[in-house]
Amino acid sequence: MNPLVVTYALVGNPNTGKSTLFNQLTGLNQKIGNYPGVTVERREGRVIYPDDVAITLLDLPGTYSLSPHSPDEALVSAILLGKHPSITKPNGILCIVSALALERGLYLASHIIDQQYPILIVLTMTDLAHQNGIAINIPLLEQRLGVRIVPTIADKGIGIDNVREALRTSLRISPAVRQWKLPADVEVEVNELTSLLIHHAHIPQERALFEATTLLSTNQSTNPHTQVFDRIILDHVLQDHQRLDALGYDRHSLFIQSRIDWIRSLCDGVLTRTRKSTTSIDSLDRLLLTPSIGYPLFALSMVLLFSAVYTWASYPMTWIEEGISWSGRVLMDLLPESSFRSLLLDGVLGGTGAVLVFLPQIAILFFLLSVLEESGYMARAAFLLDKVMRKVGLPGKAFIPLLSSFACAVPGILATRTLENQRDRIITLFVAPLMSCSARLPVYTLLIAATIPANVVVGFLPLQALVLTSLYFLGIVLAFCITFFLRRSVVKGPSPDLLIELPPYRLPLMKNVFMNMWERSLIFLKRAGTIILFASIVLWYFSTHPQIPTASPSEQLSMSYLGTAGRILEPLFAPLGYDWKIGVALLSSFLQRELFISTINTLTNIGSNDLLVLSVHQHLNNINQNLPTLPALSVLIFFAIAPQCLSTIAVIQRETNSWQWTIFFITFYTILAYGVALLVYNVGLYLL
Amino acid sequence: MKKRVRPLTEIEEGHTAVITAVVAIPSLRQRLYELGFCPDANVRMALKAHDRIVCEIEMTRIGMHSSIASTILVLPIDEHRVRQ
Repeated sequence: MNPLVVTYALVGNPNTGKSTLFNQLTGLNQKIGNYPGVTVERREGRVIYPDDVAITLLDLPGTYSLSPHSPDEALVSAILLGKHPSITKPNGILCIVSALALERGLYLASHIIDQQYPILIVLTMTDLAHQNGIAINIPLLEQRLGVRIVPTIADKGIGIDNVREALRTSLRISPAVRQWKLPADVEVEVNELTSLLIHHAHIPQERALFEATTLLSTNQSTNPHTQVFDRIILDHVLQDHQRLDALGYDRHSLFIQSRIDWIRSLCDGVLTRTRKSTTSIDSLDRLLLTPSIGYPLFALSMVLLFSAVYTWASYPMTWIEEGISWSGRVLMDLLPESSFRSLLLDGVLGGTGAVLVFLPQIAILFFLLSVLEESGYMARAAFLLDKVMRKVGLPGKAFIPLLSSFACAVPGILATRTLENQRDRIITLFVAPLMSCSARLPVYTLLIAATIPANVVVGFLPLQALVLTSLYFLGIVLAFCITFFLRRSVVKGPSPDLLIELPPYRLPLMKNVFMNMWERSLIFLKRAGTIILFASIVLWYFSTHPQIPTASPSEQLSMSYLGTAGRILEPLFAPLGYDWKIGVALLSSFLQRELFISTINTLTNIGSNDLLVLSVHQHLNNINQNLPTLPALSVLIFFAIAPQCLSTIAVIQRETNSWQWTIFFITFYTILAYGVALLVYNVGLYLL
Repeated sequence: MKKRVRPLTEIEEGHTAVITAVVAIPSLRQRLYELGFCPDANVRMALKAHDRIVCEIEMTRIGMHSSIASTILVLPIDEHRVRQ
């Protein structure tokens, strides 16, 4: 087998340090893509050896078994069982087991052993286990299980070299064999059914046991596999059900209990606990999870998070801005006045530069969200908010996708795959784009700086920050209202009650945090270098052609293709208080939100952001001399609600697998955005 | 507290109990078993916050609604707060 095409899948329970191990093993040799057919992020990396041999690692979502409860678990199950339509089975499995929860990890490992994979077990968090009085006799466990086990402290890099070495040799080792046993009379039935599945239904031999136990443990009406098999199999299964029921077995628990009994006997003499619990963190949990203290602390953490995004980002933003202005001046000096210089300055540098300035804000937002996730607080916030979110119709777990959507709706929508209930998923991904994402930030920042005075109200509150916070709250309030409405109309039905693992508190591992920030920043830079660059050049062309030599710059713009199209569309935007330039900028933002800035920049021919703020202020003054804030407010509200961004729409289509939902999404939010902006502008005109 | 089988919700904060049965619907029971809530396992009540609880099983903390916790039947194994 060519080592370059060898793929190992990383499989493990959630919160076992899987990502940390993946980052340690692959370093920067990673790529993030999408699984074909379903949009969940696919993270692949390579372990490269000194002799140029490489093994591909596929990082899969956390799971507890191969019987899935949520879409991301279903993906793991489909890949490992060889049922995924477009992803081939991995050649081997790197099974991550937390030393803190050995038995639970071995439960998952037993499923993988059943599939006859070459398997290497990596025991993580061995230092925490030691601190908590847990001792594991690894040689004895290896001997009993017949599987190589490598202990690690992944966050400190201890044991990583041993994993690399073991990974390379593990393919040559024969797969371990199933050891867990069923009661003798049940084993007979399972063997018969397994044989029938192999010979009659042509199920691969290694998968047949899984299919047999699934068919036997669930009733046909609730079994998702039922439709796959023909009458002969189903009749056989029905007779087996009757026999097992008559023998007094609880079929639903029988197979799980048999595995657990085997794991307990396996761990007898292997696992020793000298301390029974982690009472030391009870007080911290009491502080964070009791509503009376937990809610104010949660509110404070959110305020700090968003304040930090602005405060910390201000310096690097100024540096980038100065760098772009400097590049512009160099280009001006180097090149004679020509269309080419105009293309480089106004199209390329102006369009992409205006967007690039916001990279620090986006990087810092992702950095802080990773810190929250790594520290163990994110799951606790979901626990805390469960009660209040259920009042509007969402489970507390939906908090995690919604908070991620403040950075970008795409990973937020993907994170809904952790929700077990399809109705909860649909509603969460429908309202997730209302959370003001980082792509909206540049537009908010620009328009607020251009129109809202830098005053302080109520003695200490900066007015600009207050307007910005209100826009975030507008999204949240609307999301809750829409959820409330959908839960009582289109998507009725109960949500499953809260059941969530609360990971241990830990200091965020900076390597993971920085790698996450780096990956997201890279995605942003790629967008700026591709779609935004291309669109900026196209916009520049249409705003400068056809060229009229005798016209002044403003006449040239007005008579350009873009100007002509803008004026045709002006009546559509006039009721909202916009002129054709803002209308065109809004339309371009439907491709990508940040394009609003690039378009305004191109249409006003301004190179630096400071000047852009002044220019936008002037422009809004021209539209409405008495109330320049009003059209800006109308744009801001339109932006907070409208379904701009093609990536979001594409992800919604793929995740819902429904054009009806996608069209409903686009139509609903476009009408809502237009309606609310229209209302605000006209009420404003009437009152002021 | 007399030693009789009771729902997990009736265990006081800081007390430990042994699970005797899980009486949830099959899909939920399967998930609870996978998380470690199966007969003969020890569970400690870490926190009660209105109708939600946090309990500890196999050194892992699990948060759940009391409607789920009430399907886990337990027998108390100590009468005193567990000390480290």
